[in-house]
Amino acid sequence: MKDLQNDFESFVQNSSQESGSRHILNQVRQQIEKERPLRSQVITKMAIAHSIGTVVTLMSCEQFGLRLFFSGEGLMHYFMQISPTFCMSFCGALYFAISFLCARFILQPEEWLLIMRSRILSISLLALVTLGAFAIFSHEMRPENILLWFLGASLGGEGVSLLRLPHRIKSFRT
Amino acid sequence: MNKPLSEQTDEELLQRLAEGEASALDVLYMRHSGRVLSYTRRRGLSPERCEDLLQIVFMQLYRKKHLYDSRYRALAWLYVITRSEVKDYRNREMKDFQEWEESLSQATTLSPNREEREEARKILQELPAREQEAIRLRYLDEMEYSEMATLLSESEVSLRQRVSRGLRQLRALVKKN
Repeated sequence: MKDLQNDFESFVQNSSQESGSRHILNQVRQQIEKERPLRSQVITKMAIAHSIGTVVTLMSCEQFGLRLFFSGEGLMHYFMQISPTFCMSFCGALYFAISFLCARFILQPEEWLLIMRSRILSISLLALVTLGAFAIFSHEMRPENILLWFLGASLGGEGVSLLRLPHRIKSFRT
Repeated sequence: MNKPLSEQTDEELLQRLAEGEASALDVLYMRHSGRVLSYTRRRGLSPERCEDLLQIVFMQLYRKKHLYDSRYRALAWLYVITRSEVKDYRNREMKDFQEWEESLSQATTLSPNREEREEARKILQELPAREQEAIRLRYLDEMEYSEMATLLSESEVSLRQRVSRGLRQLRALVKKN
């Protein structure tokens, strides 16, 4: 233990004035460039995460009248009790929070960063594509509902992406 | 407004790196590459190997950026990575050397006949082209990693990975045959 302490101190108290060459730094940069994740790969993984999120959400909370494997109102019953006006926003927020949480587990840290670099665009695009898919199957889509849902979905996705997850979860995929 | 990167502390720089600001690594390199170099030199490694390790350490600093815990000093994090990479590097070298010695002793005790040579050539051909090329250069042409890197315009780190992947695949093929 003491050896380790001394070793660390000698590392910290380095008095040498030399530094690594530019050439090595360039090689590190080139390697980083090579290891950058492919956009297509990130989009595929995000689609998988969103599909899982869709199944989980539709099994507990209906979206524009669509549901999977349950009868009754599900979680919507509780959302209606909180606020009948904003219940669509709660549904959207839950849906996107689940999807983005799945994505944090599925995507590698570098891939997640790629999504985060254009966070607003990614969330909005995903919400629009999802609304498009719902529009094919649902007949309950009204403009005010769509707007409230979109607002909720954006806040849900944004909330999870800003969440500081504990170290253990962050290192889950490494 | 954020301070310029050059004015930020090491801890802030690692935080920025974890948020995707790759140029924070450049500043960390400027500040601490000397520290890493002299640490590896004190461990008796040759200048070429020290530079090789310097590249590996900063690559690992980048790859593990999301694991940095800002409650601890950045230098402690860099030290942990450097120490563990020096250890791994030595282990890899030892393993490479043992494999090389084994292949040499086999070559001297048993001079392969024509069929065996033919079989070895066939097994090598079963490897993917990239691994085949790396193994040929390293073990048949007896080139140093630095020479291979210049010849193939690739980093030594990726070539080492390729050779070790090739050796693993070769071992599996030999077992299968």
